[in-house]
Amino acid sequence: MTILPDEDVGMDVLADHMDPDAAACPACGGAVALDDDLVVGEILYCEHCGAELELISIDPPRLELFEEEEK
Amino acid sequence: MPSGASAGGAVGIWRFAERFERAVPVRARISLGEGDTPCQEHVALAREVGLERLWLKREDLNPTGSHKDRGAAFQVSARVADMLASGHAGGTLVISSSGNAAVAAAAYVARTPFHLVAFVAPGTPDARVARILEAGADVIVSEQAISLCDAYARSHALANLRPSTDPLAVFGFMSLGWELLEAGTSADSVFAFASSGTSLVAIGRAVEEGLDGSSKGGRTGAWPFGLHVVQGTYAHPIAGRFDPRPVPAGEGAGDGEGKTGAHGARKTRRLGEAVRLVTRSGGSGWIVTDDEAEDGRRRLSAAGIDVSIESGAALAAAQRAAAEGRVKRAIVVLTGASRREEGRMSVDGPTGRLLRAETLDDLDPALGSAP
Repeated sequence: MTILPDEDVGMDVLADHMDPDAAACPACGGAVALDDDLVVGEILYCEHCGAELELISIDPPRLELFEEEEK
Repeated sequence: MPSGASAGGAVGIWRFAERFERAVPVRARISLGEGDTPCQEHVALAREVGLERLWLKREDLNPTGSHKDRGAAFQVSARVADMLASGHAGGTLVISSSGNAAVAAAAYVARTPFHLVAFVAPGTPDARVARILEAGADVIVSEQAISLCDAYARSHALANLRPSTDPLAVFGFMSLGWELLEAGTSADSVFAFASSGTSLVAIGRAVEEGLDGSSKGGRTGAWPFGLHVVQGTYAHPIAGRFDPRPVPAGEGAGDGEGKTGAHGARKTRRLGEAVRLVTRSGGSGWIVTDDEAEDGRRRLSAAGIDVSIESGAALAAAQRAAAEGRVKRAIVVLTGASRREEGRMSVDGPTGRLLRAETLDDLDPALGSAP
């Protein structure tokens, strides 16, 4: 699984050592584990910084900060 | 003991008290008679919609007229338990909901020392707002109801009862799943309308608890029925993962049209778990148009059952699934009553305040130091 670290977070070290089934948290750059049965749109939590993240795509894996929708 | 607390705690959802993962002591349990709703077989209606057999789970008969009472009963009781344990006297609880959840929360909170502040979106039906106010809760109307409620809760360290985010919301709804299992039907499918999917996830967890061979469940083997999620054209974050039928032109497709499930969330934190549960159960998802939902509601009304359009949607989904040859014997969960059939939950005491706010700066002067 390809990793797409957010270029703004400066997480080269983490990205270099990222598990193939993980993606970079766009908030802190930490590795967020991605299970096999996730669905696009699923909300995940970064265990490093607690950010709520939305899975935007699976292949390639891409996470964005979850934005609450006002109806 | 709060007003409405059940002596012995063995009624409504509290019949399952020993199965909830979070213990709530008897003296903190509140019951207005929610749960233990009938699961009625309807022979003529089954024939009409193309099913071999049809059962209606009458959640519309809950005290405030919706299955949300189950969740609220547990959520509020758990906060009463926390209050009793801490020795503090009440405080403020908040909820953002433009649907039945706020009505249910207001009714249950009214029986406790707590005060509720409910955040609703503009366009929330007046009758619904009136019911919340009559129960003594304050109502904040805001374009940013969800985020303002979250911000207010965080800034004052208050519990937020919003079902899609409160971890305690699932427990009360699990009683619905256990009752469906207890009903002893030969149903091959359960159809339920979902907004955020909290109650759907709860039903799924309740069933799978038994499948896992848990000592609490005792049921082993395969899923006893397919779990079918029903949503409207306004918002269908879960059903949209299953239903390949294009949403008809003018019926929304995610742009806010469609009155079935209006105000429902288009993103939900329950998405992943809901999709996995529906998939494992062998069920599916169904996006129902307003016309189909109204037709379902009319059929139910003709059978003497006045329910919400979302309940009509659940019947319409079962009808479509039967026509496609995918189900034969269905339980349709009637999640809510029609507006005019909803119970009145007025309590003695002053009504709440109706306020408009868009920022915390608007709120604090209006509500005062609520906590």
